[in-house]
Amino acid sequence: MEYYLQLIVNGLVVGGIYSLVALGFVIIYKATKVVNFAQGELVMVGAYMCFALTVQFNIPFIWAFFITLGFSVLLGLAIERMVLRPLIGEEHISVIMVTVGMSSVLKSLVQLFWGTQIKVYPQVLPSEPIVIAGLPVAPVYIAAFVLSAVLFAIFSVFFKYSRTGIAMRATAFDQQAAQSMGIGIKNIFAMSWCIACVVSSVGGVILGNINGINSHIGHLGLKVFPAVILGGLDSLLGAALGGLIIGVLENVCDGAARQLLGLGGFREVAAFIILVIILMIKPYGLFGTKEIERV
Amino acid sequence: MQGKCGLFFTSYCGEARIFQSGFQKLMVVLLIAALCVAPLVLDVFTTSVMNLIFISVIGAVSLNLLTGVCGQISLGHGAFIGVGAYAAGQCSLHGVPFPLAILTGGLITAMVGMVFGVPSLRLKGIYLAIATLAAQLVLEYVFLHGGVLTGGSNGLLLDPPQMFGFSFDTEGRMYYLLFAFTAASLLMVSNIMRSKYGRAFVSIRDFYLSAEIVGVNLFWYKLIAFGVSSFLAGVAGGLWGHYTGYISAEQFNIGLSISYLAMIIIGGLGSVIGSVFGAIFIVLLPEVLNIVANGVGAYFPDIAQHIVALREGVFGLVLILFLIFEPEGLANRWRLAKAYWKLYPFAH
Amino acid sequence: MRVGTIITAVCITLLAGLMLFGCGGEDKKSAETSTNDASPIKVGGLIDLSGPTSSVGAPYADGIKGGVKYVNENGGIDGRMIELNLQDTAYNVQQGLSLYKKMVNTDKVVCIQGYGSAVTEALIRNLAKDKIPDLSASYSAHLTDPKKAPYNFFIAADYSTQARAAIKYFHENWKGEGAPKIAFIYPDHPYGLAPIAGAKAYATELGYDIVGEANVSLKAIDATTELLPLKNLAPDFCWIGGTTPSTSVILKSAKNIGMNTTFFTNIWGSDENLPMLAGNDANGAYSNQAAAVYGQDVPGMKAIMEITDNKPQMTHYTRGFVSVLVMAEGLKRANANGPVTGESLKTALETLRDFDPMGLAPLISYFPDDHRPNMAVFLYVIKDGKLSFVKEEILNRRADWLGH
Repeated sequence: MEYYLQLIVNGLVVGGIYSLVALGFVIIYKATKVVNFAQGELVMVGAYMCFALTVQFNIPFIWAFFITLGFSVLLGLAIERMVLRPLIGEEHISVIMVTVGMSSVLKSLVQLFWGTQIKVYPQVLPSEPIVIAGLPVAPVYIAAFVLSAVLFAIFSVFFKYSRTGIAMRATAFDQQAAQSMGIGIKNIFAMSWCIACVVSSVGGVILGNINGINSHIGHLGLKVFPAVILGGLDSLLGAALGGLIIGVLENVCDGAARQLLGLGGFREVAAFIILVIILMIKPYGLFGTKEIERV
Repeated sequence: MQGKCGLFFTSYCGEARIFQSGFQKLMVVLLIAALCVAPLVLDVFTTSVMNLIFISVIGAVSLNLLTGVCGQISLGHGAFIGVGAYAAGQCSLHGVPFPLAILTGGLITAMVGMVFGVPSLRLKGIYLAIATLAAQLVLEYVFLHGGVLTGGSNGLLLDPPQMFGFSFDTEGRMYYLLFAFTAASLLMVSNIMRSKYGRAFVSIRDFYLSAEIVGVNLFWYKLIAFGVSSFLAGVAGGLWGHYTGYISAEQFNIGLSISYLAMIIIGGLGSVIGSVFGAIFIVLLPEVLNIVANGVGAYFPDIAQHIVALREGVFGLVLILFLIFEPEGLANRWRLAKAYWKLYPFAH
Repeated sequence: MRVGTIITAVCITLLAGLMLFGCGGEDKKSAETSTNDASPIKVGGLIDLSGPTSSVGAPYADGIKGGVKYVNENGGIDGRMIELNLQDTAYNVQQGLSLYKKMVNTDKVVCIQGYGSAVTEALIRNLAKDKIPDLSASYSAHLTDPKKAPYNFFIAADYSTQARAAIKYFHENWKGEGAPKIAFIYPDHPYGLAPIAGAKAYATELGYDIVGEANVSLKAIDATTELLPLKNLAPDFCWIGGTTPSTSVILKSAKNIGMNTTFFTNIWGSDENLPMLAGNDANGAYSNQAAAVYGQDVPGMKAIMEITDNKPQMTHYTRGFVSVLVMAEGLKRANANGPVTGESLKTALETLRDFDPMGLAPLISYFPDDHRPNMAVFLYVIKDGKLSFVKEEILNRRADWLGH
């Protein structure tokens, strides 16, 4: 029993990282209805940019962090202008494939500039583990958890109460109506991509602190799908909770599979089986907006 | 049905023919003749590339039937090809004759495909894509943990196909076998597209609500789409397994699914000839890149290495460029080129 | 209608005729070169320069290039230069097969320097059919059985033998009471699963108590949940069969939960990057290696340091270098006995007895019925962030271990 409790705590902790990545995903979907298969690669690019600034140019970490955020804004603008804008109005499959293409391009660019070697990240957080419920937890994960909570709070407030946030939600709901109310949707799209890139960079820095960076940490982007589907594709709260829940469920299923069924390595696939089950029962997730179709 | 100026049909049969004019028929005959002569004049390596193209065409056309014609986005195609490869491989290893093994592999894959098509009843668009992504990952896990059925982590070693005591163990012989299968699958898909089923698929893609009102049973036809598409994917997988001689779980990963999706998008969604163009393009892309790298490598030795490492980036870039500038794919380009030639000097 | 039928009939006859024609067998000209000429010997390289394993593939490829350079600068193969054509397989089996066919059929190479298990396994049948030897960097045990893989060789002891050698070393130096307890951590991947059965069998044979095992993915970012049950079972020794990133995650998680176990890793699981990634948590871990560390005092290291301008390289570089040295020795013997073909190279390699690759790796012998290069492993321990040599452990060449 204590084992399962520890699994849950560890799941919450690792789920914090999923939440961070899921947040960026949901921000893009919320504003533009684009499913971004390149979310993992955006995290990777953020991590590499911070690495380059800290290690290669020897800038103190705090400044490097903020400059990375600045670069992320530029990256978001570039992506939106060059890749996504020509595809406004195209069908789903085209948009999905363009993000897939983008993920390949980003991966290759990172390999071109920084090579394929594993890079070690500068450690900015203390490495002494903090003990929670009998389980030692590295401070990096606590930081991820705290950051997701903070970012989630900031963006919830932003989307609910600020003009721009409401404009973004309006654009997602009905582009034509938003345009006729005078909202510049091109700016909205650009802003949502910038915000998502910034959030991903934060995630990337955290991820880099955990185990160094290489050009393949982008696979985390795939892990995000169960989290966002569980939470609802356009719900921020859903993304935050979905990440945590998926982290916990993954661990619990893995532990149960090993003890009861003798299956190894189940955690990789557990999240996706949960995904299929959720899709069958509640396709719009826990907090997503239900699309009601009128014939 | 896009009729040509000057062709007058006096029966429905004539109108529904796949090759409608005498000129088209002649061209097809010449093409077949050229393809038959090809392995005798080309070297072994080029023949092997053509073999890869044939297998990819079968896979691409099956995915196009599901995604391009019926509108169901599927990210699990690589896994279905894997199911076909393992099923046909196991049949072969148990002594089943080769043609029967391929067919059995296809049928098993069709059933698996239909099982994973069940979510399509409730899911559309993005959600279906993500469900098929889950299918891909779950099937990969099954391949790795299939124990005796899939050889688990060691994979399966297969013998080259044998029919009537005749062994297809050289590139040239496999070429003719694969050519036959490819021609058969292309004909099959073309026929489906001009039948009642094809029209139902198109109606589901275009606007499923109207299709439902008109009386098309959505769930049944979607299942059929998944089934037929998976059958052909299974056939492609079985052929791939016997051609390569070795199958393992790593070969049927998400990268394979994405490359097939790229094939149909670059080629053109919803058209048979688009699938062919797309398959040729994607299979030849690494070869062209190698040639470019070798050519450049003569002048700048170091850059050659980088160019090849950028293979994935070039693939992504090509995909993005096609989606931005030519969203309807190579089939559209082909159609426009033909129209230009036929209508010159008129614009339309 | 009639014209249509006639055309169809003609086509079918043509097709049938051509099929019979085409099935008359191919004109196979195997790659060969006569004894008295000085033409270069062509060798192909199929390495992952991009893709998930590229962080170790790139140094390995550099090692191969360095080895070829060294051989060519020192007289080549009795005056004939080695011409290396190194291509990137990018962890893609289709790409690897395609490149292989090009190399064998168009470029007429006599030997392949291979790399990862995905492509190497896919090539087993083709290599046997085309009679081209492949010296791979995939050290799977079943590639050592010439009955299954007649044209596969590699220069390091296979993964199972490496695990057994480490297990024997720890058993010999066990000073505690009772039976030592051992556990296994490996990824759910062919590469990780391969040596486990053989290692477990040998551990039981020596009297170890196998307390448990755990599955940690190659892409894991945290291993705490997998390690918790193991910690409670308190193994004295634990095998980690991953790659460097996952090994680092395991070591760090183990340190976090306070696991007091001696870890020993496989050859791709620890290299110079491990102490960098895992920091102090890597100290005390043992590492199986099959080649000397850069700067170690062995005869061949001087040559390597010269070629690399004293820039430190990873152990993967040294292994690539040794792979070329072994191939060159085989080529020399084949060249002395007639035309160099893939087949003659294979026969020549099988005459190697205790070949010494300039001290960079344990002595290598191949036999016609046993392609295991040796039963030796260099054991290193990570001390103060560096790999430091402990012992060369040698096992008996047992026949019942061949192939798994």
